[in-house]
Formats: sequence, structure tokens, C-alpha cells
Amino acid sequence: MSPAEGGTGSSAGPEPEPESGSAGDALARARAAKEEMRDRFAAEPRVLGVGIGGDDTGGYVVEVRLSEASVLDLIPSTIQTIRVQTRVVGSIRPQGSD
Amino acid sequence: MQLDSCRELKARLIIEATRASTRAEAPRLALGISPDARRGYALAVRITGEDPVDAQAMIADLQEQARGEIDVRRVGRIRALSAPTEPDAPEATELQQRVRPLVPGLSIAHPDVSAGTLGGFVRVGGALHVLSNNHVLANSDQARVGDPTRQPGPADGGTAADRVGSLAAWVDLDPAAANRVDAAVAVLDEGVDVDPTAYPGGPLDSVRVDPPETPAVAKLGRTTGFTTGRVTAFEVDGLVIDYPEGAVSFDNQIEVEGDAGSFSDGGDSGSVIFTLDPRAAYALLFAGSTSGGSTGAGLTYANPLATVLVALEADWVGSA
Repeated sequence: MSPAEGGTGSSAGPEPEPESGSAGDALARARAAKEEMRDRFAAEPRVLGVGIGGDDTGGYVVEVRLSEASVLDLIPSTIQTIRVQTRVVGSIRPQGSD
Repeated sequence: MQLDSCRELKARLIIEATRASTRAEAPRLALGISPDARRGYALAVRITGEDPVDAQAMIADLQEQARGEIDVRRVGRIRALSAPTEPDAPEATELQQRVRPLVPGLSIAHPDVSAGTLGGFVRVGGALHVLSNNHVLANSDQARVGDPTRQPGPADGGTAADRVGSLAAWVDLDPAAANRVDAAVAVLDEGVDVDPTAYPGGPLDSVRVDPPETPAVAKLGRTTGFTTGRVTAFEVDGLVIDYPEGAVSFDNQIEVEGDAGSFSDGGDSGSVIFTLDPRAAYALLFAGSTSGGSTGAGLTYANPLATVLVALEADWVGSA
């Protein structure tokens, strides 16, 4: 889950960004994309949760959890240029002993 | 024995052992060569299987053929090491027993709850408490302050005689709002000894606040014992959990996938999830999905431990 190295920071000013700036920017962009995804599907009961995950390159993706596959077609593959990953998780229950 | 002689004997015995192993009850043999400081080389024989019925007769036969120059050991069943191992981690069956002093990972619960897990120890107002979920210690808001806490939980035979403390505080589960934690604490009865350091691999001296840079995590729980996994999502919002009393939504949650099958199962609720690099307490396990893992197993969900501690006005106790 290490942040992206050398990300596309939005600042082009003369001040050099701190080393952690690009990583912080990447996470900030993922958070903004997550918020839009959440708002877009707030009324969809088959969307069980929206979060942030890491990808294989050290960047971030938006993670979407679904109760059933029937809603998969509604979920975009990217949002605000951030890649979206989905998983169908069925139902989620508290894990006290049965 | 000379190396060439040892190789020759090994080859001959492999053929004989192969014939013998066609019988279902025969011991299984692995043959090799081991260095022997005094005699050059010895025939190495490893007998596998749970309880080979005629292992002794076979050993005697091999001893004779190798003229006593044999290194024989019974090694039981050999398992692949894909499952996580931690030398000092107790088995799940041990965690379901009555255990004193109290340690992390044990079965624990309110008398009206089946069983969950004792996640760890915290200090509230200067007093030592055990930490677990609301739905484990406070029966999902249905308990009252002062209700007993049992170790083990009722599902593991816990009775009134197994009381270790009493319910002190919990965070309500609100079906109409975004929740952040499913957490409760019980204050320990006088004279109940604890060991807050007894996590597999050693104490958890600190609490991780930020998402981990390396996703490897582990937990010790009442049902599945010690398991390892990785954080697959964080800051998960709008997470809908199906409680028996109805759906409850959570924000800012953590998702974990197990390295070898499920990271957790029913009864592991309340376990503290810790990061492995560096070691730090990280999350309070409380729920799991029926599917979604890359191998078909479910995923595990947890509250950030830092949020739990703030909500309960508690301080983490990682050392004795």
C-alpha cells in the first residue's frame, strides 16, 4: 500500500514539493474519487461499501463492495481517472460465534 | 558406510518400500542419505503418517539390511507450510478454554452472547479493562452496565463461575446514522491476572493510526486462532453490516483478506488486528462477508483501533 512514487502532483509553482507531497496528492485524489463514487451510489442498496485500496504499482484505487453481481454493470471502471475495483461480497455480518 | 554403498542400499530399499506401500496400512517411507561423523554415511529413513501400524517391524528389517548404519526417525504427518505459523501462537482450541491469567485471543462474552474474542487490554480512568466488541460484551446495546463478562464465553462452556469482570462502557450501534466502531470494555474483577503482552511474536507496544505502508497484518482469535492477511481496503464508507437486529452502516472501516483462506470466522469478533512491519496494534475485528476473497473465502472488516480508543476514552496497554 505504499503510495505512488513521482505522482502527477498538481503544483507547478517554483517551490519544490516535499518528498511526501506526491504520495499525499495521490491519496487525496483517491479520497475525492471515493467520495464521488459514494455520493453517486448512496441510494443503491446493492453497494455495501466504498473505500480505498492499493494497486500493484504502489498507487491507489477506489474499492467498491457489492452484495450481488447484478449491479456490476452500473459501476464505472474509473472515476476521476482513478481505477475502480469491485468485489461481490454477499452479505456482511458481525462475527460473534454462531 | 561408503557413499556408493549407501546409494546402492537406498535404491534397493526404495523398490522394496514401493512394493510394501501398496498395502493401505503400511507406513510411508522417505529414504535418503545422511552424513555420519563416525561412519561416513548412513541411510536416512523418515517414517511419515499418523500412526503406521507396523513401523517397528519395518525399522528392524531396515536395520538388518543396513547393518545398523541407519538414521531412522518418525516424523508424523508432514504438512505444507502455506498456512501461517507463529511458534508461540496458541491453537484455537486452547483459546476456547478457561485460561488465567487472561491473554489476548481468548473466548469471552456477555452471558447472553455465544462467544467472541478478547482483543486486548486498555486503561480507562486508570483502571485495567478488557476490550472487545459491543456485540460481544454488551449484546448489541441490550446489556446493562455491570453485567458480567465471562471467559470463556457461554458457547465454550463459560458459566457464572467464569466471570472475569463486568461491562463498563460501550459505543451504541445507531441504525439511523454512520457508525464508526462496534466496541465495548469490561472492567476486570479484583484478583484477575492478565498478560497484555502475549500476542504471537511479542507485545504490541504502539497503535497504528495511518493506513499501513505494507499491508501485511495478523490476528489471534477464538475461532480461527492465528491467521495472517493483508489490508485490501481502508477508509471504507457506507459499509452495511447485517446485524440480527437490522442493518447498521459504518464509515472509515478497514478490510482484510486472509493469506490462506478466511482471515476470520464467527467467534473471532473482538480480535485485535496488528500490522507486522512494523508491529503495531491496528484494528478491532467485528464482521465478515460470505464471499469476495480471491480464493472464494470471505473478507474481514474492522474498526480502526485508534478510533475505538478515542470513542471509549481508553489508552492502549501493550506492555505488562
